[in-house]
Amino acid sequence: MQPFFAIFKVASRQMIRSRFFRVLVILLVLWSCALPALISGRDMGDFLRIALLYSTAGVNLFLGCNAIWLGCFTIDADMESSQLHLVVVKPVSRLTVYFAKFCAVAWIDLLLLAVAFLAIFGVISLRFRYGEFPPETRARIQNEVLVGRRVFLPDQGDYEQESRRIADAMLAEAEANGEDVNLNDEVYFAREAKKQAMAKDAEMRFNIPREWRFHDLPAGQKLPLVLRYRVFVKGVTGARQRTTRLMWLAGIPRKETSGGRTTLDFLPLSDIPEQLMGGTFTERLIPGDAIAPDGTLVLRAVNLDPNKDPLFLQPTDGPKVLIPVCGFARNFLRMTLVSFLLILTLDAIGCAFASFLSLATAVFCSLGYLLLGILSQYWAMQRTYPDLISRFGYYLAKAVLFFVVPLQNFDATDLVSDGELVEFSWIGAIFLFDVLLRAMPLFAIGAIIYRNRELAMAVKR
Amino acid sequence: MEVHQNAAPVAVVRGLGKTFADFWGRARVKAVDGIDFEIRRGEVFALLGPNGSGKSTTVKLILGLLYPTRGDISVFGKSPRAVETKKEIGYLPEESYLYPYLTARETLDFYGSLFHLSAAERKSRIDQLLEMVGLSHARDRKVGEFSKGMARRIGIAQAMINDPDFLILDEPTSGLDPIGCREVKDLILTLKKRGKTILVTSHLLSDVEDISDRVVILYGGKIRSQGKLEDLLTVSDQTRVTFTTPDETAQRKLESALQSGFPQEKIVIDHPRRTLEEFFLDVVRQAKAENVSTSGAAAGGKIADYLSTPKSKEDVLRSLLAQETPSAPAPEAAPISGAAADEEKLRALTEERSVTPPPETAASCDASDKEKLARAETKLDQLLGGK
Repeated sequence: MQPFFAIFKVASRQMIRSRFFRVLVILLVLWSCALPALISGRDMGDFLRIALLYSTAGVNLFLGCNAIWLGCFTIDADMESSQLHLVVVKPVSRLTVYFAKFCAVAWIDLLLLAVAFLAIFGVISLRFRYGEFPPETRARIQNEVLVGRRVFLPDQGDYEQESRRIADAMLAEAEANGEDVNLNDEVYFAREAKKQAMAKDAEMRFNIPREWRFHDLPAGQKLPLVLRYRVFVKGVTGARQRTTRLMWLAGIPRKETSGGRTTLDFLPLSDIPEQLMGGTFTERLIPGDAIAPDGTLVLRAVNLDPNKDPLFLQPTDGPKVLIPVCGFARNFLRMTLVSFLLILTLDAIGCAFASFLSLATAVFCSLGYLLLGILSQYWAMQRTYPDLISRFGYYLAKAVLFFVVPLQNFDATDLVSDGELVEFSWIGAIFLFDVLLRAMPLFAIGAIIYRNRELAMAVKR
Repeated sequence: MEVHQNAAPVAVVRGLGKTFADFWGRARVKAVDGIDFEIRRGEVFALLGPNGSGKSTTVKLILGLLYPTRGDISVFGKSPRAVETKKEIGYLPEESYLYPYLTARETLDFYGSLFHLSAAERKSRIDQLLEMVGLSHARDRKVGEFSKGMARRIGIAQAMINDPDFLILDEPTSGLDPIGCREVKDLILTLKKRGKTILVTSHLLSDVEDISDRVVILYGGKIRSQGKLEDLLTVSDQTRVTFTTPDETAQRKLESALQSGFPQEKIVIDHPRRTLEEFFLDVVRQAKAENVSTSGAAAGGKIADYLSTPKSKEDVLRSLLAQETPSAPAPEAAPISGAAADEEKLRALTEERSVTPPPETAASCDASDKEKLARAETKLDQLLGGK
């Protein structure tokens, strides 16, 4: 281990001396200390959430760039300056050199991450503790931001089946009208049908109740649950939103005296319809006894818009049911763990590309690789693939995701700023699928190349 | 110490070839083209050649930094890439590839750690090595602040940290002042006496001539000549007669000795030698005459037109005088104040080196030698009867 630690030490010093690193550290300090202290406004609940989101996401971005750069730099710098010649002619295996350098990068980034996140946590906590908030705002911040709540999502509609039904109807109608339907028309119908199916699922018409069913909730919950959602008025664009009215009802299970069957009594969650602003997230409490013994919860919403306009509730906007599980510190620590996995992955990717490419090319290829992962994930998450090309793109993206890391999988900052729990099962999945199965094979390939490649250049620079 | 003729060779190179290819794998440069040699235990082996002849490539192949396109190399009977092999190797590269932010002590400590040396052992060796290379006073200075000569010295020290059995020195005297050169040569000879094997590449042929047992001369990636230095530099088809006392009496005695075969006169007859430089240039000239291809520097010698504009006699004289003016010694050449022992050592070395007589003495010696030579020639003519 002596050579390992010697190389680890020298690699750490080399990185700390890099100008890029120093600039990033200055930015990191400013971002993690100044930003959460400076963001403020009238609604401190929202601004504290925004400060938390921006500062943690910014730290991830800076450290992510740093990890890529340092991963490439630590492997390439002394290879290009030939300093490595004097190391590899000593009785040290190249794998030891490679791992020692990787560990040095990981260690430095972990240290920076810990310091930056500690600063953010400290500033946010101090602002909450000593800030002058009305009691209701303080309670809202505590319940909605500085908390870790487990998230439950409702059953999703089957868009495929519905869009196929709509497309068939459109086709039949066209043929009935005596129109000459060709392949292009069929593709068009399929695309339109998908859009209609999604819009239909999101739409809440005036005075017609919509129902959502949640599963696997903890039965016997004593504390109230939280319902989180965001509706749009008339359309899903953020512009020209106004106040509207909505009535929520929870299905309270009741065991029938005859036959022992359980039925649901829908009780309104408020005495009067809720008045809310379109386009903003709203939270409200649901009694814990609304959960059926089998862990099911059924919610209904009725659109009571004063203008009788339709309301839209997209799948990404809820409704979600949230159950407080842990405090802010624990949840923040879990997010730190995810960020560390992100940094570790980026380090590994940087080291892997630098094992066989020059510094500039390695940085470029690492960024290209990450972009490919982001785009593939985006494409694979799309819900509609109406034509052949987009379907081919979907399968291609799925294939790419077998070996490319999608960076968005590592983003836990929005969860924490929304007070949602960063689940250990999710962290485990990231570790297994993204770190172990996607990034580490690339890192291992880099190690093999580094071990076997020629290290001396024909012409010295 | 004698070279172990029967011992297993330290390094064996057989049919070694190295071709550099481009991105598409197309062969671009044949740096080394089927060379064979052995480096025997306890010898100082020199690899010579003009720029681009394949010396450094060969060294890198022996070190396992490059891989051969064809042929085999074994170092201590193993692949040069084997980690165990490297325990016994010390390497000084052509340029000082050191980490500039480490101090001299940290640099040696780092390389010592790579050999699994204990902290106490490292400290002891570092102190001795810094003393040896005359950098004790600069032990806590960053290597990045060192001059080329100082960096070279620390490079030599790092190559010696493991007390290697096989030392590979690529241009060891490059960048060193005359004192440093002398010290390095003394060091090499000392190590040779201790039974170490040394591979040297250098352009400074006089340095190589002083220390080497055997040489290989490369040109265009091929071996043009190799063997013992003594054999290579001896002109075997001529005979030289050396007088121990070339005064008039002795010459008269020699005359009679040659006439009547007086056995009492001490007569030394040996073969005249060319200098290594002459021999080396001859080999290269011959290779060029045979149009041997090389990826290195092409034949030079002709100065660019704009530089070769004739100068006046006064300009030439002035430039020659300027060349004769001794330059001030480089600050790193002599150890800086505070190292009294080093100064003593340097003074002693400088005195040893001051064998060149002052210009006037040299001129007078030269004149008397010429007179003596002229007289000797006249006598010889008389002896041989004008033949």
